[in-house]
Amino acid sequence: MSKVLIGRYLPGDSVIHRLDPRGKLVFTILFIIIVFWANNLITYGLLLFFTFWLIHMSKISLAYFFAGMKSFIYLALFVVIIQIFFSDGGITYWHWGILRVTQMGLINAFYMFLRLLINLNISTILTLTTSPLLIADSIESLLKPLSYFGVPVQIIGLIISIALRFIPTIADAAQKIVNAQMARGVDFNASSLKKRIMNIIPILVPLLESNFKMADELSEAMESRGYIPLAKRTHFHVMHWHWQDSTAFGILGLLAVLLIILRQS
Amino acid sequence: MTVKNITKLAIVAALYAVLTIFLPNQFGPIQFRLAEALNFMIFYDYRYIYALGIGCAIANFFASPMKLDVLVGTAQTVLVLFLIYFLTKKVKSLVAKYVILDVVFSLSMFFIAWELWADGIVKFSNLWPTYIGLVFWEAFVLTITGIAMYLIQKRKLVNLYLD
Repeated sequence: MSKVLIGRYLPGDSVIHRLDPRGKLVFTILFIIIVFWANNLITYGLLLFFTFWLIHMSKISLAYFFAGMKSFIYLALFVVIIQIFFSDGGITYWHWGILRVTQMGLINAFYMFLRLLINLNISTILTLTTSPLLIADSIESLLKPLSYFGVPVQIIGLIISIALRFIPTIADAAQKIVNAQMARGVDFNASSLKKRIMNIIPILVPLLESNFKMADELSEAMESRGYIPLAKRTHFHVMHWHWQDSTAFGILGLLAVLLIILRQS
Repeated sequence: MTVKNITKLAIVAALYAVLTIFLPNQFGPIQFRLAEALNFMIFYDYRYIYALGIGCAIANFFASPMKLDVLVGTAQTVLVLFLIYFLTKKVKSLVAKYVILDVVFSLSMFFIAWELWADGIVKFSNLWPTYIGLVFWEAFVLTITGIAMYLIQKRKLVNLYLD
């Protein structure tokens, strides 16, 4: 459980690391949207090349990206199998009952795999090059206009940053609880439904209890340091927009134009 | 809102994210989200809806390869939980509240089926079979975890109320 994707921020001094986190977040969201425009080998190839260029620019080893793919591979396989055996169109190579392997099925499966891979790569680049706290600060900053409508943006930002900070801690605590219960003889592979329900309780109770205790301790620590919710405050990390951030969006715009030109109408 | 409530909501958001990121089969047409057990906490304080929304957004953003999940999945969680909260406001029986959440939340999986179609994961012709599958698994998870959460509260094993 300690192999936390979002706790895998790798400090560095690459161009990607130095970009404004707000820009990186918006860039990632816009990139994910334009991925939907790809519909042929050239456009998917262009997007894949672009993500690998970003990985190269981030100076992060490809091994980190392959490690992140382990959790994705089962879903990707499932999606590919569905696309291969349940898609119509083009030449039919094989069919048995409702199952068929067609030319379009194979092409769609390949495109779908590429789309999932591209999306995974781009969000992994963001998480490996931006600390969770900066991501939380960026979300708070981007949500700021909502504060004019009474939305407690500052509190939402604080909840996100505390949540991101505690994910690795809670993951390790959860693993310890599971191991402790297994050592006490809890069988998580019990066949009866009743036993399965009863087995959830010894996990949920210590998990909720220990985490609520942690929340109490954290609130006491914050209050003792004079934290007042909704009070006007400054940030430890001050974010600045540089010309590199504008350039990044210029490149994204160029990529979007290329996609529009190269995609099949 | 007190600092204690803020930290409690943050920890619940983190817990939702942990249970979703680290367990298998949490995304896609066949999903088995144990973290949905936390949905029942809205009956002890409606503000948990914010925590569950944030936890869902974090989990989907960092772990789901289908990025529409961040928008659609989070919106579904927040809006449907608010709907359930208002639907059950005058219901006195806790068991009835749990059943309503189980049924309404499972039926709302249509949004996820639609998202899977929009994401290109399933074809339009497979939309309804996908929806039925999602409803089945969601109802199964919510029934199991709902009974567990009910027993936890009935036996007063954990205080789920906010200040």
